[in-house]
Amino acid sequence: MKLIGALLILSASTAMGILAGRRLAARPRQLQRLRNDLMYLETEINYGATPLPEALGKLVKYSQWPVTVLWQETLSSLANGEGLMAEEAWRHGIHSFAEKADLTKTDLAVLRDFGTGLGMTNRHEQLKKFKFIQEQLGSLHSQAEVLRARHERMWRTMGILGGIALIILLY
Amino acid sequence: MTTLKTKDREWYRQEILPYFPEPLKSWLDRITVQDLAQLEEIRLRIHRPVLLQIGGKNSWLTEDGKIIPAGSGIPFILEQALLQKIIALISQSSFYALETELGQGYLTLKGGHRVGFAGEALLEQGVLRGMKHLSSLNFRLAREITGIADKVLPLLIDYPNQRIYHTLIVSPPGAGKTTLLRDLVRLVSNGIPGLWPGTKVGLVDERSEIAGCFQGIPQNDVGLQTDVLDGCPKAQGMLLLLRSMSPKVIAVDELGKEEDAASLWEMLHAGVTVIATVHGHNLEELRQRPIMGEFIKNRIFQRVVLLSRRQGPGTVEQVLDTVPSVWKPVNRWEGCLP
Repeated sequence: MKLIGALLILSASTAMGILAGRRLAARPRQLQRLRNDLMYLETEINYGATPLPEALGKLVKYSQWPVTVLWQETLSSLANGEGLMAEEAWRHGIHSFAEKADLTKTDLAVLRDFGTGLGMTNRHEQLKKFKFIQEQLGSLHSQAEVLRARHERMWRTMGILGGIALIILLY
Repeated sequence: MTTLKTKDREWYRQEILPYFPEPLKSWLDRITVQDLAQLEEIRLRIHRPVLLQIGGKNSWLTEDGKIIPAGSGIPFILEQALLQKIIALISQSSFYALETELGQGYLTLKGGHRVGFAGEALLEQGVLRGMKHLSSLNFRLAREITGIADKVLPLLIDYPNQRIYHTLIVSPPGAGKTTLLRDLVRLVSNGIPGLWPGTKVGLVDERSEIAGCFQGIPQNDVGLQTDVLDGCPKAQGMLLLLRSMSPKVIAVDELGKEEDAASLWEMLHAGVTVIATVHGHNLEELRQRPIMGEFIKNRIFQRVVLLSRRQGPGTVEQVLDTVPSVWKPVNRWEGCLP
């Protein structure tokens, strides 16, 4: 009986460790995905002068979960006929995306800032926005990457070791 | 028979109102059907009232959303945020995609309506490149009125030679020259049973006003045999169409630049008929102008159609035959049948 309990504790703590580690790894991956997608959007705006709804439509297909939620939600808020501006639609997008993403408050704040004036200035000004957010996301990404390298293994080992420690204590 | 394309307000709700945020949207929807039939422009200026030009008279929106003659009541003042929102709606939130349109000063909407802009001009080496900080928008409602050329076209046909005369439509602004040109193009292209068989027409629509192209597709009926070159400068466009589409008739709006003249000569020598419009109140005024004066004096155009607003837009004052040395009116079209 005790043995079964010990096994249960061990597997639970291991799983928790793995999950925490995975979450840590998800953040840099999603940040990188965002950077790629934003680069795609920038190209559409700069070279194609593609209107936002059309460009977002392309991104929905191009992107990956969960980042695609951001594009999907922004697009549907923009195109639902309520007459929202891109800025407002973007806020809706971020809101839905935040629930699915593994990003920090800082990451989301950077994304939120990007929405201000989205689409509503000339191409030159828009490109500046893209350049700026790329830099910001870039540094956030390297931070996240450092965190992941440092802590991902640690969380996993901690899961197992913590489980073992708990079992010993309870024994 | 002059008929409005749509009598009800469905077109207005689908083609105009979606560009207005609340509360303007519901206020503008209160316009009566009679007024709507005569609504020409909706003018939006920052920090100023919203004006509606209805049948040549100004009305404005009041604070409580009524449409009453300008000068009475307390007008609704358009603030920056609302204007921004309208700009977002007409550009699909993509102001950056309007570069060409801002350089031209207007944008064509679905349905052939157009929005004119004014704001702070952006110059690049002295050439207008675009605009920022838009402060005025002018929605000009396109009315496709078919039938007004029915009486005019028979006067423009050279029956013995089975061709159309070179024709110049002279009209002051807002007297329907574009509408007449569009309807002429449609008829020349489609033909009139018993009178005219219809022929290939090349239409250079520099300002997207005639065919009202939205993303390259004509929104107005310009005839079955009409090829539209949208947004192209007239001088280049005429030559291009001549080479590429072998038209029998070429139609252009608002002649007057120097390079237009050179292309026009080219057309005349290539045996293509030209139907063109020009701004002007009468022939005397045109004779004074450098480019057009030459054409008038040399009697290049065999028919001149004079329009006015005397009985509302599209009043045909006179159709002149310029072939004899004394120009004579050919108003009674029975008179010029063979």
